[in-house]
Amino acid sequence: MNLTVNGLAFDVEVVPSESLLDLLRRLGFKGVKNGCDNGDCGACAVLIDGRAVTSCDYPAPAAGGTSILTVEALEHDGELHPIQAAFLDTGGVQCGFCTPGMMISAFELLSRVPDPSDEEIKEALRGNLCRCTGYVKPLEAVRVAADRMREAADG
Amino acid sequence: MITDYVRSGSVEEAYGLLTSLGARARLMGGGTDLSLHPPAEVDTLIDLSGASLGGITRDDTSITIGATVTLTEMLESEPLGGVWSGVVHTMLRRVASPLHRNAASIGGHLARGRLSDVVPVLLAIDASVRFYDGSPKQMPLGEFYATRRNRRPLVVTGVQIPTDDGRAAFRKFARTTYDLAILNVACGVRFDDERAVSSAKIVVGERPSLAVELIESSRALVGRPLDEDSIAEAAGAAKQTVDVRSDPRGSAEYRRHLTEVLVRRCLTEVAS
Repeated sequence: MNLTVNGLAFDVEVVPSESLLDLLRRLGFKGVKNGCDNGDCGACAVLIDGRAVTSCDYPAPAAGGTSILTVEALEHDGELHPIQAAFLDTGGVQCGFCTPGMMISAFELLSRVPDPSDEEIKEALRGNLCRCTGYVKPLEAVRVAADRMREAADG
Repeated sequence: MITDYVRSGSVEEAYGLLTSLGARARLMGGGTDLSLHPPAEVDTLIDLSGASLGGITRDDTSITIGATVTLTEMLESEPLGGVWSGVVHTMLRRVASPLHRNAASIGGHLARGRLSDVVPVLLAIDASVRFYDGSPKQMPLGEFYATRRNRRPLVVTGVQIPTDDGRAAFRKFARTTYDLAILNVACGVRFDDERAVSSAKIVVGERPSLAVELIESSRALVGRPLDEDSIAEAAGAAKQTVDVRSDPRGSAEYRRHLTEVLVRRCLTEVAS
């Protein structure tokens, strides 16, 4: 089966019962976290052809021919993506386990809605459970990232 | 244990596989449910994503949604947001999260039927299901569920929503916004020229069984204006006639109470 992950082409053997989460971690993309393995927590979120989905309840064979982005793709040439920088600057990261999934959800949101309302940010992160932060700082992080990305685009 | 995964190129091919493999095979839409909970007897998944069942189309009297359309695509469809008081969009915003709605397909969802906010709404607005069981068929969604018990093989190919201008509302009660409903209610109401109710459908889901129409409650409204009296009567009839059960999410008594409250709230919204 062929698929593209973070711009790299792969030709892999997949097990029919395998989840996309297990496949991606097997290929070395350990930024994809296994939180609940039950489609509930969002820590395993990745982008498939631009859409954020939970990879634990996504059958690996269904990803054939798609283009996938994991959190590893956000950083460029050693420089953090504005979403990553904003999570660090606002304290939106505590234990960090949910963070990759949150960043993937935020990435999809900001690719569609450059200036989201607080409601839109909450809606976008609705499927990402966090047991540390209480959500206030991650929501702030997405707001800060949105502002910085718009400034950079205007600037 | 899933040992085989087949991408089907057409509805006819998928149906052929399904009939030859029997209980060993299941059709797959987005896979969000089936990949986590495949029935023990199933060893083959038939992926329908290549079977040309995508797309949302509108004609003079209806909107048709292909089986592999995702819940997100429905949420982003302007025609769907413009009919029946926008109830399909109101409801979808409360279904799971974008991470699931981006993958879950309407066909897979309807084929499963249970654990659903979508089904009560589609029942309330008179949706029909399209399927293939050797030839293309279409029937009202309620009839589809009522007659499906024999589990003969079929491929759900889409759903059709009538666009003659009714009003509708949806209410869901859950412990958190992201949780499955303890109970949900949808109502779809059409009015005549004198603003009396010409037809009404009040549907209760997560009883916790599959959603059903509350016939007596719906009948209490027909021919009358939708006002405080008729709403109270319909809500009371709903409470009396609803068939509810206890499960870990909520007791039968609690669900019975919720039924009255949510029917009243739905109808009050429609009347406003």
